[in-house]
Amino acid sequence: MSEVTPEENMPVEEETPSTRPSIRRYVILGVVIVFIGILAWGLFTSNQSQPTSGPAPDFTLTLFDGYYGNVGQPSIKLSDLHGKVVLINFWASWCIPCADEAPDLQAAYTKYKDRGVVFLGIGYLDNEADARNYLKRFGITYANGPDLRTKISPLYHITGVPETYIVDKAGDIQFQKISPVNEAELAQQFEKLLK
Amino acid sequence: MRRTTYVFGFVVWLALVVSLSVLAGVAAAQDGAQPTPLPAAGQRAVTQDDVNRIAKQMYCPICENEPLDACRTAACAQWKAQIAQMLADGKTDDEIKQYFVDTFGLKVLASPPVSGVSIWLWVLPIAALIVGAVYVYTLMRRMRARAAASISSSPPQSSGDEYVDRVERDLKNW
Repeated sequence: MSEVTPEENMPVEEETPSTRPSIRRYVILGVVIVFIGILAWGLFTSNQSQPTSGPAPDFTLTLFDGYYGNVGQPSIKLSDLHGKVVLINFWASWCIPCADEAPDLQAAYTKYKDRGVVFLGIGYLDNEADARNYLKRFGITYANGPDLRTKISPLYHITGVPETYIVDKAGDIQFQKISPVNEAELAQQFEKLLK
Repeated sequence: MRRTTYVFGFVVWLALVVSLSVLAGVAAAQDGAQPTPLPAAGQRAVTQDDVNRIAKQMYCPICENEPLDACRTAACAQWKAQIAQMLADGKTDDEIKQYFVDTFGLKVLASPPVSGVSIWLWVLPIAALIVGAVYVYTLMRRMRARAAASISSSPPQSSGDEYVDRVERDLKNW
């Protein structure tokens, strides 16, 4: 005896080759492209390392009250400092090596602040109270502000703190260091860039 | 060619769902609590459990894929101390989390809020699952119908062996 299931009786929908399959193909192709694009973007961004040359990524830093340094205003855009040598230092109050370099940074700032060198300290993943205590503890007077919403540090792909960059008068990165800096090496860089 | 397209589509859908699930899993992963020193007593007594209740919902960007309550770095200890201080000051859980989001960005949250742009992080995986399930269901239904139609419509072909032909015929009619 033979039974015919309803499914076997179902009429088979004939697709018009020129319409449905091509639309489906485009949809699948679109999904594949988007998917590969997301993966490629993820790989690209995760493999990016710190910039060591070329134009310094631009950002706007809102400064802590009382820590305007030789910037002289509550916030500063890096690109507005063209024509000056700029030191960018990422630090945090919980970072022990940052404490090692803090006196050297302040000494270098004192020496070069009137020669067209601007120091920008950027507090990384720090709360304001602890950051202020740190600045007070080391007598730091150069411009300092928090990396609000962690927007600046990803531009420089920092992997930790401290990290220091020196940008020349044209806005290009000329120096980059992941570990603590000292006054002598900063002076050497500044002298070279101020010529 | 058509079957290849279906299989290709299915593989793409599966890869998409698996990727989204892994991402969601990473975001939702929670670990056991670790002790952290509390600051001096404020206006309200704060316990370690109070701090960990909030810390479990947060990630410190320094410790990748490790929830704040389990992270032992100095930065995380500072964050936990700050949570304790804010609780002592009478802040609510939501206010504290909002403070951290405002200061450090959305990525400090273990689960992105179900609002604004981040709502897509919740909607897309579910939508992908539903669309994929519907796609697989219709695909299987169509393949079964096509297979049934080809069996019933194709003329019997002789294998050249009388006995084999008879077995095939009987199996078909059984």
